[in-house]
Amino acid sequence: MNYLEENSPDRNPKPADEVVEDRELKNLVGEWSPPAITSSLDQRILTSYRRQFLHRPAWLRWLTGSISLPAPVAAAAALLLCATSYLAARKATSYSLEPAPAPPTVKFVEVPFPVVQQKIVTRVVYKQIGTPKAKEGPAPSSLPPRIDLADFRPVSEIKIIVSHGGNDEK
Amino acid sequence: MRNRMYLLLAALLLCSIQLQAQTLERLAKEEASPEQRVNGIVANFSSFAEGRATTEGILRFYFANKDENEIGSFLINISTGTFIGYTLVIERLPDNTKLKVTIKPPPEDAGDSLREGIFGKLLEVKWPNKPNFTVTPPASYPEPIVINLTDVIKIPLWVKAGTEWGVVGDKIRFAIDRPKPAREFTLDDVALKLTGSRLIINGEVRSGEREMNDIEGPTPSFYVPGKGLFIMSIRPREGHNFQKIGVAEGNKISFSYGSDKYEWVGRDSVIASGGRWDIWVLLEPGYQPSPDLAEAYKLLSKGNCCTFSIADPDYYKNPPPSKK
Repeated sequence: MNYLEENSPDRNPKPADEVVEDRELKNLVGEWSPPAITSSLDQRILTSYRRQFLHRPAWLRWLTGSISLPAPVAAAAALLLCATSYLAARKATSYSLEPAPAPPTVKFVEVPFPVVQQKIVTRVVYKQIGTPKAKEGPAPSSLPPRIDLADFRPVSEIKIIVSHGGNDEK
Repeated sequence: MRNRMYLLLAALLLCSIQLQAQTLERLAKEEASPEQRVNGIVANFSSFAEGRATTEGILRFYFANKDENEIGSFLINISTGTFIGYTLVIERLPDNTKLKVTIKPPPEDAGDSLREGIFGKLLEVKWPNKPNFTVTPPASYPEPIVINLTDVIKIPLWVKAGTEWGVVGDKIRFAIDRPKPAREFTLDDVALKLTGSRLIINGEVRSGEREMNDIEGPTPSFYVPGKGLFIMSIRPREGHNFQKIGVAEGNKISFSYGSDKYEWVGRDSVIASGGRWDIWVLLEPGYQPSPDLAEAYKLLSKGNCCTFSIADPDYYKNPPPSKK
């Protein structure tokens, strides 16, 4: 069929002819069957959709996403944020100059104690910090045992310990 | 010969009167250098203590025998008077970064040598109730080891077992010894040597029944109670009142001071080259030896009146500091 011939403008169909042609067109359309859709077409469309929408990273979707908020709610939230920020800043300024009270602690104080023969014996005194003076008792009278070498004996076997850079090994 | 190493100790320990280092504690602290040199190596000794122990309770003496490339280490427990000794031998290897280190027992007669010398007498003075002093040699010694020059070795020597465990010992570092630069020879390099000497005053032996320890240096000296310290020198010394009143000839130094005649007689030639030479003498009347040293010399030789030492040559090298 020649399409140009059938639709040429110099051809003026009559009403009777129109009915006949319409019937013929309907018959022709009824006889026409569309080409079969292949299964790969569905797959391509589904893949394209997923690529565009479902496989976007969550952070990208979060960054580019938007929510709608009514204007009164947004205004109230902004007002609340300003008020709480002001109060927080004011409170921090007023507390910064107050030192925290130190709990009582025990401190070791070494007191050199000279004795005869030019030896220095170290006494250990336990001193409490932070306790009231009224509660202070007498100084501990018992001394730790003096370290001398009276009970030391020569070794029975001489060994050499070699130290490489501070690490001992035999 | 090994006995000689321990005899060296007595000589080394008596080389200073200026410091008044005449008790065992001060001798150990001031006279026994922790740096000992043998075979081109400097061995630097220090102490270590672990557990319930202190390094304060041990007197340490170190001395090198350069003939044998050996260093003697000798330690006394102040609390008990017992002592322990060992000999450290250092050998250099073809690889300059390596050393071969051997620990050996002290010579068998080391105890006798010490006991019979002035050092042993100082021990007797300090511990008069102790019947004898013997070096305690440990039962076994390690095999020689090869170490790096930069390594540090520890040698535990005293130990206390039990709950209050503790150990004390020597810690030794090593380094290549730098040769001393050459310098001009001076008269101070001429040593006056009195070996096995006796002191005779006005014809009478005053040093007792035994010969004294060897003394060798530029300023040998002896102290006579009631007189003072006589110091001898081969040259005058600026700022010090040395007088040319003595003579060194053969194995004897002799001079007269006041109405007294002094003769210090050794076994060998006082000056190695021999000859007859002027000797300058200084009397320090204010000098007093420590009671320990005076007592030790009495123990050393029955009937001895005096003490013998080498005056500090550095002190007499320059004029004395002006008194404020």
